[in-house]
Amino acid sequence: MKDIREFLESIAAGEFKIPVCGSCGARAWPPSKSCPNCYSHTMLERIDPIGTLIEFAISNVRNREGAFGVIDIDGIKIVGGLKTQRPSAGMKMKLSACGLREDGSPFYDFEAA
Amino acid sequence: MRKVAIVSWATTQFVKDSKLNVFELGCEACAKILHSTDFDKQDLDAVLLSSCTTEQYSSTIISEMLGLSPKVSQRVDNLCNSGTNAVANAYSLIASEMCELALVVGAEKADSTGNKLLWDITRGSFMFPVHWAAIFAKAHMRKYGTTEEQMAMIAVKNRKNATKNPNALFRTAVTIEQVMNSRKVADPVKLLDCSAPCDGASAVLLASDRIAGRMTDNPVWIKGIGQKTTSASFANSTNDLTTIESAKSAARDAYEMSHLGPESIDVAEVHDAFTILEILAMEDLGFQEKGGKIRRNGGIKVNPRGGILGCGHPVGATGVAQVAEIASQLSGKAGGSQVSGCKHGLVHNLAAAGSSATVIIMGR
Repeated sequence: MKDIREFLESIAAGEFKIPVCGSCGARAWPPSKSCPNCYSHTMLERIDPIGTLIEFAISNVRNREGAFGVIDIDGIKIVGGLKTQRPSAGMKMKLSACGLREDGSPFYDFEAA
Repeated sequence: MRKVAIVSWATTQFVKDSKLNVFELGCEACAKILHSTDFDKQDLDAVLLSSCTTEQYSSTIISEMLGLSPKVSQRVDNLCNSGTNAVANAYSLIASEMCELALVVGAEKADSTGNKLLWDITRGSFMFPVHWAAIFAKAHMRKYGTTEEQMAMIAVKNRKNATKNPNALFRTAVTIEQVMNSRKVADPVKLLDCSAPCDGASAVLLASDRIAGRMTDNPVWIKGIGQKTTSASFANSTNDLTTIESAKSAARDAYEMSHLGPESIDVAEVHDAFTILEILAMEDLGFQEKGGKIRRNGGIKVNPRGGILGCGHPVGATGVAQVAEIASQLSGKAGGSQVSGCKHGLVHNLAAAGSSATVIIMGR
């Protein structure tokens, strides 16, 4: 991964990829161009975006309304919107959409797997 | 290694908009110390500014505005944990004998960039502090049966304490009903479960045991400090959403260094930016069992100045104000909020989602 823009461009294209170290295979999360384990370069790789909902709450913050939660995707923890009627802790979730908001920040949406 | 004392302190009134810039705010707190403490300002070795301001060279600007030419002039930035980090740095400078006398000042504006961590894109759209607070609250409720009423009681207690603090942002008490009926910001966290950003400054003067007695007959000694950084992101801050791992680690080190345990602490300032954080702090510091009932009376007194919920949260100033409060309590100068007979006090200060923590233990 050249820099963080490459990750954001991927998200903007609706593709959820994780930086993975080309040398030791460790994942860099939060996304980073260098591996937090051996400091080699990372490369964006597709992962199966299915994980477990660890906990959730309901946001009433303006422009960020709705259920959200922490999803663990094989050790990667990510906070996303929950597009399911009845979320529950332990539920299997899959990434249904990702992209960039108007302010340039990413969003990640999940639905029941 | 030299012993280090806090010999003087001052805190400004915390307000929504002071009309002052961050330098003027910082100087206001420092000037109170310079006016009230008997020392030659040429002897001041270090000026450390705790702030998340984007202003450059800020500690040095404050030094010049105060007519000071210290050996060391630095800014310390670690979000909400900045203030106690600056105190820990000042402690290290003195304990190592690089300095004898150090002024730590925390100053922040309500619109500080420290209020939101944009770098952490693992949180997607839900990047406000209230979002991780809601997740911690839900996890604690699920695992230990903690109720929204128990969280509300923290707000009621701290807002009541703040009515006695002339520097507090909020000087009106609230009822459990008011907290419970306040707007749900991120359910289960309601508006009155949340602290408010504000303008404010606080300063403390640290001295070596060689010179502390020249400035006060009643020094407050720093007995132990623990610090831990687990991550910058919420994603990697803790594996267990019902505890703040950095705080547990920092507390363990501070207790070990001070040769004191939680049973020795009479008064504590804990980081209650959200009500759930005071509950987590009580457990992480060993003051109560996980999922234990919230103490309302007796035992340790927590957040007698009103905490962050009552006083407001000028990010870089908060940790310094917490240290100033415990120094004030231990020297018997806390006025209407004085905890009688306290000998040992503790400060617990966190940064973003508990990704870093500092615990400082002080004693007479």
